[in-house]
Amino acid sequence: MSNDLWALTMVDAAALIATRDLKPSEYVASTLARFEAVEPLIRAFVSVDLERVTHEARLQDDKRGGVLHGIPVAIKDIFDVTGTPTGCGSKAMASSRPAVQDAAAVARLRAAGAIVLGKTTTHELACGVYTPPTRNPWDLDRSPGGSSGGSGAAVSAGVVPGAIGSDTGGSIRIPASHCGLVGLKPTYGRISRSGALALSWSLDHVGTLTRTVEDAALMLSVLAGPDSRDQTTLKRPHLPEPLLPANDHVRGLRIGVLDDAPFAPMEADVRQGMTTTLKRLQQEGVEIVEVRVPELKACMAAEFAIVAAEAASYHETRMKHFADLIGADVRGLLETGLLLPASLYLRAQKTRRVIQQTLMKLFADQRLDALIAPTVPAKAQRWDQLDYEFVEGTEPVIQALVRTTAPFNLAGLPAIAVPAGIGDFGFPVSVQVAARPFDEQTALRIALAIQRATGRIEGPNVFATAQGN
Amino acid sequence: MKEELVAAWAQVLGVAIPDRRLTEVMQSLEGQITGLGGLPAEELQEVEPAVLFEPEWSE
Repeated sequence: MSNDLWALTMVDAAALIATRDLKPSEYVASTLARFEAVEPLIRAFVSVDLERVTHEARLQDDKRGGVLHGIPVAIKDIFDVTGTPTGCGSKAMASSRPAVQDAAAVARLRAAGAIVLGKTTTHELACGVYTPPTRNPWDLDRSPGGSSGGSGAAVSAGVVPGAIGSDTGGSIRIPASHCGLVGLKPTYGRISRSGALALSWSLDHVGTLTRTVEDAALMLSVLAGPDSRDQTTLKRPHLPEPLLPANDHVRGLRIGVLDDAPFAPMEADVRQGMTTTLKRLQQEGVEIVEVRVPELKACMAAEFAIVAAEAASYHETRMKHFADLIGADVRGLLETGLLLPASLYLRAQKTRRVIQQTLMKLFADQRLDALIAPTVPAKAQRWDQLDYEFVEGTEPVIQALVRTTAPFNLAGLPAIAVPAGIGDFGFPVSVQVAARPFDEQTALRIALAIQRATGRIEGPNVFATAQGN
Repeated sequence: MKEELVAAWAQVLGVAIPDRRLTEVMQSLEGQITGLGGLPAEELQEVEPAVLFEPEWSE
């Protein structure tokens, strides 16, 4: 077998394992070798138990298992993994005890045969877009994005074919865009949040980071489903089977384009990526419709009011005892949340209702199957970069990255970020496709068409990147 | 808004905010209030907030 087994997609590796053409121990050995080679450069993991992972893989060699039999996956360090502390990237949680039960998402992955390779870094308390100390495999001077930055860097560098993350205002899709990956935030209520740190109960979504759309569909098929420990997952429509049709044509679909505020301003590379993607979709027979939703300008104020209030409530006791251990950026949000009037929080939730209803009316009135927008308006920020310089003016990094992703958290719609090519500066650019509630299938189908038309993005050469720094 | 006001409000609510952090918290709070939480109240008069309570009985 080749030494490059780590580069297999999840779907291909699973197929080879199912036909016994590949042993889980061979595959996992290759990914662990990749881990040892790149981890000193990217620093994406907080813990990897090499012995346990190797042992688990060997045990699987002679067994038959589920659809992820023998597939190594990485888990953002806000999800409980039995026997491991859940540190959440915070000194305030550094003394947390090892979890006694897997988070629901982790349990589902394991039940399908996946092997937890390790836990990945997160921006502190899943609240931020830098994820120190992790480096972007495309350029080690840049951030992988956040808050699921460790999961993004690990998948992008080829350590694992897939990882889970959480997305409250873009925390899966931002790292996906920065790292050239597919990032899937399903509909609110599709995947259980049980056993994961909350940032904002009403906005938190669990989802996936993978190198291909097919792998995202495979992971979603395993992760989705009801869980009595998370009421929001009960009584939801089932995922269709199969999730991705064999024939992935998109002819006849109508897609609305969102490219004015809050999706603009954007860098020229990103606009070019959007334009090229729309042309390709039109060539595939998609009908493109320009749409305007001025209400979305209110998203940022609503997003930050809801996150501040809910996060402050969730961490209230922690703030009393450990506030000095929380970084200034996150602490400021929590302190603000503790002082916010209830009426402001409820106004934000009313605004959210208007945004949700407006988008649903747009889908109905325009007979849309999906919406498309830039995932983020700019390439990955440098470590010390606080602002983006757009032609239209200067904007703080966190505001720029969240304004394009948060609308679909507020509306709860499924949204998938997919690479749309490499920009002039050598960084991946990304578009996101959002569909009606619980219609992940249409979003995946369109993302697959974009992936096919764009061609798969070759992963970064981490070692060349390191030499350039 | 003034730092003294934020300090007094925090004290009433039992939220400990060190003096050195008052400026940052004041600016953040001011930003939130200026942002109105999204849309103006006049545009939200008939709207129910997007919070839902569903009573459940175990079978």
